[in-house]
Order: sequence, then C-alpha cells, then structure tokens
Amino acid sequence: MSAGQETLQKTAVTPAGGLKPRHKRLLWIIFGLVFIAAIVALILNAFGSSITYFYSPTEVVQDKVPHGRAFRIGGMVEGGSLVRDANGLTVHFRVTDTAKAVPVVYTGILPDLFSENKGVVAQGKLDEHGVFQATQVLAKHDENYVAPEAAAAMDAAHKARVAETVKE
Amino acid sequence: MGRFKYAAPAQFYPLAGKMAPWFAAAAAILAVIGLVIGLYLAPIDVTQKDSYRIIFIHVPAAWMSMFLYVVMAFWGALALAMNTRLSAMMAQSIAPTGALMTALALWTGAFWGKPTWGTYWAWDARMTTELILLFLYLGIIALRNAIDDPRRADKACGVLALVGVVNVPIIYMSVKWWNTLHQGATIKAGNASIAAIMLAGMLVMVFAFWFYSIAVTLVRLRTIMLEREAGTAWVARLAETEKER
Amino acid sequence: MSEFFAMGGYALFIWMAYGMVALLIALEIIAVRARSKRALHLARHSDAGVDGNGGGAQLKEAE
Repeated sequence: MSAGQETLQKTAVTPAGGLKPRHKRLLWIIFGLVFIAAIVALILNAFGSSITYFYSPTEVVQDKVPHGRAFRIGGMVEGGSLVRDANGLTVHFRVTDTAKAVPVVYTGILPDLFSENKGVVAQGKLDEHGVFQATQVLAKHDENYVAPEAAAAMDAAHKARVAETVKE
Repeated sequence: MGRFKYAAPAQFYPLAGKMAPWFAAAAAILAVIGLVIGLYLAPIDVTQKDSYRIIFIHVPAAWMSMFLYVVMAFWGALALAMNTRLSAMMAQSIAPTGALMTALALWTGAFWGKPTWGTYWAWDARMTTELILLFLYLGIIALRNAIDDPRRADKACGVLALVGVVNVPIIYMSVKWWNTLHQGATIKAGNASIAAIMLAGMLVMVFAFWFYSIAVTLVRLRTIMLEREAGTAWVARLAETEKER
Repeated sequence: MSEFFAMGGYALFIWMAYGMVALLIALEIIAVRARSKRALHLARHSDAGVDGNGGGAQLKEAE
C-alpha cells in the first residue's frame, strides 16, 4: 500500500475516540516530546550531579564528598557501634567500608533490614565535628538469597572459623 | 525466525497464528508451576523474610524489559538496513509488551524496595536507567502514532530504538559500575548466590514471562499485518476464507 | 490459608506487586484481543465498504 492511500484512509475515517486524526496525531507528538524531554532531563541530571548514589566512608575521610550540600554515605553498620538513645528514636552508629568509618546520628524510623554488619545508605550532611547528621537511612541488602536451614549451617561454620582465628 | 523463508507478512501470518496458542499455553502452565514454587514451596530468605518473594516476578519482568528492547532494536535495524516490511512490523509489535514489562519491573521493584530498603524509589543508577528504558519504549510508541505513513514511522522508530539500545548494557552493568542502592547481580556466569529451589522458581517464571511475551507479540503482529496490509490481495483472500468467529 | 495470604507480614507489598502483574497482563490480553477483532472485522468488510477500505492504521490499542 502506498503512503498516499494510507494517509487518505486516515483522514477519511474518524476514530472511535471522537478526536480528529489531526488532533490525535498532535496529541501523540506532545506525548513523544514529553517522553524524550524526560529522557534528556534524566541523563543531564545524571551527569550534572553524580551517577554514584553514595560515597564510601574512605571518600568522606579523604574529603572527596560535595561541600555545603547533602550527600549519601554507604557501607556497613559497624558491628558493636549501634547505640540507641533513651527516647528510642535517635540512633548512633558508625558506617564502615572496613578501611575507614564515619559516625552517623539519625532520628527516625529505621527500615526492617537495618542492623549491625548489614549494608546501609544514609542521606545527610557532615557537621563541624565530622559526625554525619542523617535525614534518611535506607538498608542496602546484598544479592544473596539463603534458606533458613542453609543459613543455620553457614552460621555454625562461620562461628567455627572465627573460633579458629581467635585461637591463632 | 527465518527472515528469508517468511519474508512476506502473507506467509508469516498463518504460521504466527499456529504458534501463538502453544506459547500461550506453555506460558500459563509455567506460570502456575512458578507461582507454586515461588509463593508456596520456596522457603523464606533469612534476611528479607517473605518480602524477597517479589523476586519471582521482578527479575523476569526486568530481564524481559531489556531483552525485548534488544530484539525490538534488532528488527528495527534490520528494517532500516534491508527495507523489509515484516521486520518493521515485528519491531512495532514488541514495543507495547516491552513497555509493559518495564513498567512491571519498576512497579514490583518499588514494592520490594519499600519493605527492604525502606523506600519505594531511589534515584540510583539502576533505577534511573530502567526508568529511561520505559520512556524510550513510550517515546517509540508515541513516535509510531505521531507519524501517518507507516514506512516513515518504521524508519523513525528504528533509529530511536537503535540510539536507545546503548541504555541496555548500561542498565545491566549499572550495579557494577557505580555505587547503587540496588544490589548486584545474583545470577552471574558460573555461580548463583541463591538457594536451588528459589533459583528454580525464578527460572520457571522467566520462561513463563518469555513465552507470554512471544505469544502476545505474535497475536499483535498478526493484527498489525492486517491493519497495515488492509486492502491487499492476501488480506482480502484471508477475509473470505476465515469465517467470522 | 490466611497464613499464606499474610506472607509473614509482607502481604501488602507482595500482593500489590503480584496484583499489578496480573492486572496489567490481563489488560494487555484484553487490549490485544479487541484490537485483533477490530482488524479482522475491518479486513472482512473493507472491500465492500463505502468509505474506501480498512482504515485500520489509526485503530490502536489504548496504550
């Protein structure tokens, strides 16, 4: 079928929607422009800020983080560092990447998966004392999916290994 | 799919009609098996408890969203290079299902993120690039509808699909290249860090989604053939032979 | 049975995710079927119609 025929057909029949084909086409052009604008905006935004969602404690200590604005810090909640205030809402903990650690203070609701030795991403700002004042804390889980029995077995094996290293 | 043997829509039309029900049936059976494994037989995950069960639909949808895009871009490119009608129609028939899978990947991801991470959405590299994929699909669908002449629309959509294809490896590698809230790949070459029964359920669901996509795309392809080739001899013949259902 | 639907307290998230998958797939099947029926109908009645033929090109699924 030639292009001309197709065009003829389109103008000859009014679609069920009640819109004239010309208007319908215009609507689609607007949709298209909106989507393309959204894509461009997202890409520009990614380049403008940083594609990195969070910085590591090492980067924070080395002062490689943005100044004067909020950023995110990610790593593990250091084992034994989690302290809850008497009010039960404010928590203190240290985020570590095993090399360096940064103290964090946060008041608010923590995600279910938040716990010591687990991944965490906190958003906020560093105060003058080098303490990260978090406004939001998210839990970052890993890509491993383990059944309870397997976890118990692994836990036992891990404890045995730790006992071994302690002896050495 | 032999392009040379089934180069013409008229020849592929009946074949697609024969194949679609089989893929649909396979998809339905696999989905039932996958759901029983995923929601009932598989144990909970130690850290995420029952919330991890969203993996059985999230991963298949996310994989299909990327895979379908690559297939769509392939047919679009072939249509550009060889000026073939059938490959352009194939590309056209994939776009809506690709968009659907992308939307489902984002939606299921949000409802997995809330109970685990503590948020429905984060502007990390994985999620942002997947959102860009959705906009690419929607942009291609909009472009198709905005252009009157289907052959010109084929070309424009083919070019947009090809330009956007760079996004797919970026989505896949994003969790490796940048710090993201999203976890890394569970299934890597050689090993998978997931319990066997969970893996089985996930793979069954992947095939279910795959066969569903093939079935629905084939039906849509037949429809597109009729729409675009209306008035030709083969469609007229078809109209005479096939009885009104 | 109710224990199954409770999903260990994650019912809202699990069923919102699974529900949307079921809903969108059902809607896609309905849309594709409707579009297919329309195209077939137009293909059959195109040659005899007064308004030229088919005109299927502008009949799209609402997506």
